[in-house]
Amino acid sequence: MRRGLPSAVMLYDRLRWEEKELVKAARSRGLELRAVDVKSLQLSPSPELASFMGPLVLQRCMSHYRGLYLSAILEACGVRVVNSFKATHLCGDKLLTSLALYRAGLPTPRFVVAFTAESALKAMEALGMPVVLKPLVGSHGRLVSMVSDLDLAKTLLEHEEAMGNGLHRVHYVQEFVDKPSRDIRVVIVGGRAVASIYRYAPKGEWRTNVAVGGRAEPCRLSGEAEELALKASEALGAEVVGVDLMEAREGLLVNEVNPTVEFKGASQATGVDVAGAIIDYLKEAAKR
Amino acid sequence: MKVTCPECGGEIPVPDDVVIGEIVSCPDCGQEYEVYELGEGGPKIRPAEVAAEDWGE
Repeated sequence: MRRGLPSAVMLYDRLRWEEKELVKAARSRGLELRAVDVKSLQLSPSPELASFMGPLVLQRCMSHYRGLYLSAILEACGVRVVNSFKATHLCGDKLLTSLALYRAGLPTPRFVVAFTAESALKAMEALGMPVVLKPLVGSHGRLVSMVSDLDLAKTLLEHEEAMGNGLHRVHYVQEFVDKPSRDIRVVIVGGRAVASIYRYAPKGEWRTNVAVGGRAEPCRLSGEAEELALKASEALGAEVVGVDLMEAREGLLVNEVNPTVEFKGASQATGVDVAGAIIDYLKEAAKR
Repeated sequence: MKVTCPECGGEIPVPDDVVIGEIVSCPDCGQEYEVYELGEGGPKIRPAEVAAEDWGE
């Protein structure tokens, strides 16, 4: 390691475009960023693990649970992890995210949680069709379903109940928000909105995720949207996140907060060097 | 650099600045591989992990 340069470790399990950009940005901005593939690690909390990692870690795992438990182990050893275990825990679970937003008094879609298929059906009727059924953990719009009638609801709930994993039996039902076929993704780095895009749903699709073919376009953020996105990241205790806002008729709503934000779409649509902003933030954090 | 696709025998191009964990795919058959080791014998690859339920951002 070259003497004098601030340093950090980046943990990953799959090297996406984002992680490659982070490595490049670190090189050009004078941060010694050591990339470690977590799939090769055997972890036990110890002073040796802490010294192997160093004081500052950027957690960029695609697998939520790998990232979450890694963060827990490293924080137990006194390592500072960006985002923190707590932020990843809250952001990675849609119910916990909603509750943090509720506590902070921030506008978010209405939702109901039910623990059996039968009561989930009642929740759907109470919210009024269509509704959105979401797994508590997951991304890229995976298994997120728009439910337009009770027959479909019964089938989907039956599938959820049959999936084995207890998490799927906690049914999270969200109101279907009447909005344009786009949402706003705000990338926040250290309390600053560095890039924002509209994500348009592709033809024949209601979800706006870039992973399902959503199109990114630059978005000039209103003061209100910026403030809301920043408050949402604060409510979750997150440092580097993607906040998704919906333009509902009654005003902006915070939908989700993504703790290992993918920013390829935002970088390419806006020309903002998001990776560079994250590296600059880490450099400052490394000094502290 | 190039490696041979274990699936179809095609030639998979690997960038010179490849990093461990990087995904490369075979231009012939489309199979995705993860580079897991870099050594004198060139990069070593294994089938990339398939997206799991908790994968995302």
